[in-house]
Amino acid sequence: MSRICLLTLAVLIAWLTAPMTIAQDTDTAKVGLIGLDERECGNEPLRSGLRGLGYREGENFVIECRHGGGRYDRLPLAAAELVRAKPDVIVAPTHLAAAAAQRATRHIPIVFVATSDPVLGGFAASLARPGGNMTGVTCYAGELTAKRLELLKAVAPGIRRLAILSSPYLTPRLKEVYIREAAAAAKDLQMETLVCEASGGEDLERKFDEMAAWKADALYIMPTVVFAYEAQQIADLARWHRLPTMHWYKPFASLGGLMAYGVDYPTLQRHAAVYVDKILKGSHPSDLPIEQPTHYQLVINRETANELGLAIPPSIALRADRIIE
Amino acid sequence: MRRLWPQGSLFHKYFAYFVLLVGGALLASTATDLYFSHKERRAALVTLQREKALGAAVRIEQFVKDIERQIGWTVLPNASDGSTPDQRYLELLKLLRQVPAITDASWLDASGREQVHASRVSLDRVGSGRDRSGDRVFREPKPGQPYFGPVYFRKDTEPYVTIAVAPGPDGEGVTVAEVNLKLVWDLVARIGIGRTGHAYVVDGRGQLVSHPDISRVLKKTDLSSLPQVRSALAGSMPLGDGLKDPGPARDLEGNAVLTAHAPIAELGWLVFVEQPLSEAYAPLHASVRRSGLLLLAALALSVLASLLLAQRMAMPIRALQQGAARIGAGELDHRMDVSTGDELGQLAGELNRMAARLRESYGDLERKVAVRTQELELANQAKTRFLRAASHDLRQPIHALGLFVDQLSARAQDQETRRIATLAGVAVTNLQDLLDAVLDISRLDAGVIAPVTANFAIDSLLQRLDAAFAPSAKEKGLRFRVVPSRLFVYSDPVLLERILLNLAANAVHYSERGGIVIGCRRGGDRVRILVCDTGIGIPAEQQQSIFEEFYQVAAQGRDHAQGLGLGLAIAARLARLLGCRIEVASRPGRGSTFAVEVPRGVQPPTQAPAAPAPDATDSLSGALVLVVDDDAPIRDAMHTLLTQWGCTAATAANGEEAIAVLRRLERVPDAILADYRLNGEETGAQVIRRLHAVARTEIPAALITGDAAPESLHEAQASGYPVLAKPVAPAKLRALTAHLASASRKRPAPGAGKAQAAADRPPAPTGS
Repeated sequence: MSRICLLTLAVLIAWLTAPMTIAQDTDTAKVGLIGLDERECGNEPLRSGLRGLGYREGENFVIECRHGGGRYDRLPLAAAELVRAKPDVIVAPTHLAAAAAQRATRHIPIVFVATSDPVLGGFAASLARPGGNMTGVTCYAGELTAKRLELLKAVAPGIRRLAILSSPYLTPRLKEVYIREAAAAAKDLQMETLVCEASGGEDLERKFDEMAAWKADALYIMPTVVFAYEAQQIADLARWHRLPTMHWYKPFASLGGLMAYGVDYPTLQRHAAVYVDKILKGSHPSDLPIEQPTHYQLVINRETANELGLAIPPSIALRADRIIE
Repeated sequence: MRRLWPQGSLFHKYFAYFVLLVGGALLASTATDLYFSHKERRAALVTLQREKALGAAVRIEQFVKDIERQIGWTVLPNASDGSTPDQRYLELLKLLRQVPAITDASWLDASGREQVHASRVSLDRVGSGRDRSGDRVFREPKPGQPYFGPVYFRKDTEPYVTIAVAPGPDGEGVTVAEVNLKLVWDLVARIGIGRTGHAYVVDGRGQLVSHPDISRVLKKTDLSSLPQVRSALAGSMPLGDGLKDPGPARDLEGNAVLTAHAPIAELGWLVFVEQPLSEAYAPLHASVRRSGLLLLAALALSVLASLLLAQRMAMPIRALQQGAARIGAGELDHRMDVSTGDELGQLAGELNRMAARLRESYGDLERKVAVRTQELELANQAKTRFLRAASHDLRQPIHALGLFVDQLSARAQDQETRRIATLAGVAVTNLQDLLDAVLDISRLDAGVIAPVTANFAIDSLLQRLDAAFAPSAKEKGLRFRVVPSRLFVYSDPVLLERILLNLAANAVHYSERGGIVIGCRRGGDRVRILVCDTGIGIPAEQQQSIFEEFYQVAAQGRDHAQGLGLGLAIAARLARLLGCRIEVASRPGRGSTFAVEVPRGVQPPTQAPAAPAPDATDSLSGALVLVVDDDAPIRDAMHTLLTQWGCTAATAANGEEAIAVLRRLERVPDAILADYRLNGEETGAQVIRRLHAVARTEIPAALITGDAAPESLHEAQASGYPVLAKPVAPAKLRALTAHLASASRKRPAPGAGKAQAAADRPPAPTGS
């Protein structure tokens, strides 16, 4: 009798005094990162994004970064090496890195920041339901090609011959789609097109010579991250060849290029942290829809425009988020 | 506690009552308090949620109204330069710039043709003239009443809504904007409810439009299956529907949530606010827990208080009960200390008074008993005094009588006279034995005798028994056998011999045929000495009584005068003195076996040679003996006796006379025999010492005393001279005198006859 009383009492007290402590997950998350070079391993936007979500580097997360030493062909090696380090999640800040990571693992969740179409790139089944081990954000939208050409033509209304800069690092399927889109849009805008494929460096110079020989009067840069890395050279070459150029990479205008229409890339990198957070908290990438940007920014370099003898019309001035004087 | 307060005690009852009362009251009050506070808190939570939902709805409405107003600007007539398509185009671009949520905007003219289209992603169109007059976007909006299309998903993931605004009376056309609803996210995400609670928005079909977790929206989540959403959509609840409980609700994961909703009337959407039940009720549970803890503490306190109270109430009663029990057990001095000042205190007072009265009467009784006891002690002392006096006074005449009868039988000439003298001698001997036995018992009872233990061979003792009883047994026609033994025992040889003499004498006395066997048996460190006879035996019921004084087993045809019934009583007392006891096994008619068990001894390293038996005849002839006795008949008897033994005797009545006699004698006497208790102040010992002084030599001397009182015997023994107790058997006297005389002759200057130790032993046994 008294034993039962005591037992009841003990249970009661245990329930009453059960402290509402939240079990702190003290495990340190290992976030893998693939960069083209050491600089890309820095990825401050991603870090600040994670910090903004309450993570503290060194305390509850570490970033494990592997890079290709500045060479695209080394990215798969870096990705394989990273997979061997067994990270909890891999962040691929570019389409190329994402492709390398995809080849390296089908199990470790991959968060990408894709410059190209993730569905066409084979990263996901659909934007709403990616279905595999990859998800992330994309800065690509199919109609943007036409939009970019439209904006380019609005600034340089006289252009008739459009050179299209393509990259050997684009998968054939992507390249085909991109070229088709660009050609169609150019046709709508009454422009002839020439597709030049440049791997970079001296090859770029040769291609620009080719464009000049073809008498191109404008240049469109295909959405691949390679051309973000080459942005400075492209800007320089374009000015040298007096080619009004439309880039997708926003800083292009600041580097002396004429104009760029695209997303704020660091914002996307920062947003990747949200995916990392969700995955670390147990979500599966296949269930995380790929986000598209809501806002594209138009940046124009007035100096370059003046050099090219182009005036910025009111519609462009209205649209421009930034005009570099 | 349990031992202090037995089960069912008043304390337990009081304790149970108090705990029930206080604990019950506490429980009831806590329970009601909890019930009502639970209800109130729940209601408060629901109200709070509803307000949050209403707030969210207002904010979303505001957001939409803002967009609506922005769109409104574009449809206003442009007074200055008319409304050319280019102008309209710039207006739309401005709109895009102003409202980030708008991805595409178009302006339809009054006939429903699209004149301008601006987009963030697709190609802009100016003057396309596309006919949209049949679209709802053109037909539905009325001035001041914009059209909101259904929510749709671009690329199957991005939520959009179409807003079409018609101008006022002086405007023209319709502006259509595609609004990306992802941007409502900010508004919704900002509505936090507690730690994990949140708000979300569904459209009129239950499609999720906005949620803090944008993934849910991008996945085109349909929430119409949730009970709360279903009921809200079906009910088309008016805004003020207020405080109806939203009922059990679940989130998408199936967790129970507390939820409330508010409609966004213009859009036909609903804002839901939900919080996991576990979190919403956490403060409630915490308060329940707190109350529970407090209740437990209060209960513990009440239990403690009950304990104290019950103890306070039960203590005096218990004190009363225990006090009564102690008084009942005879502790009449016990007083109950109950100072409660109430009826219990009064009861205790009464009981104390009662105990005091009892004590008083008891005291009287005790005093009376003490007086009686004192009287009894006095009587006992008187008896002892009487016995002492009587023994002395009885011994003197018997002593004299014995001496005279001895002389008489020595002088008897004719047969008849000798026979009478012999009979007289026997009578005197019996008388002596009786007196000795009575005095023995009194001396044993007085504790005068202390055993002197030693290691000695039991066989010598057995041989003496054989010598003592073989003749008389043979005379009766009995076999008498002593089994020789080489064992040693540790005991007092004299006392042990007296016990065995008694037992052997009884055996011979009570056996008419058959025989007696005496022997030893070894058992461990004990030796058992057995005396077996084939006598009349002792019935079992009498086997204890035989050790009492004057008890005799009824022996048919026996002359009772033959035994006194004191032998076994003395033997038992002696055995007790030696620390052993006498066991008896007997069957009437078959005989008895008496056993004495003594410790086994070891052989002494050197055995003292046995004292040579005094050679009476030789040593006594020609010896000069001085007798000091205040009793004239005894002096005469002694004189005659000594003369008969061939001595020269000189007598004196007291010390003075003795000295005079000593001086008259031609030589120093060979021995002095002095009565211990003389008339006058001097004792025999003192007289002997004075004679020694006069003679300037230690003449061997012995004391004879008729005083059986233990203290007198002690005194006599303390003087250092051999002591003989009256009445003294003539043979014994002769042996002692001869011993003294021989000692005197052996030494030119006689020292002292103190070597004779056997003489201060108690007298020989009485037989039966």
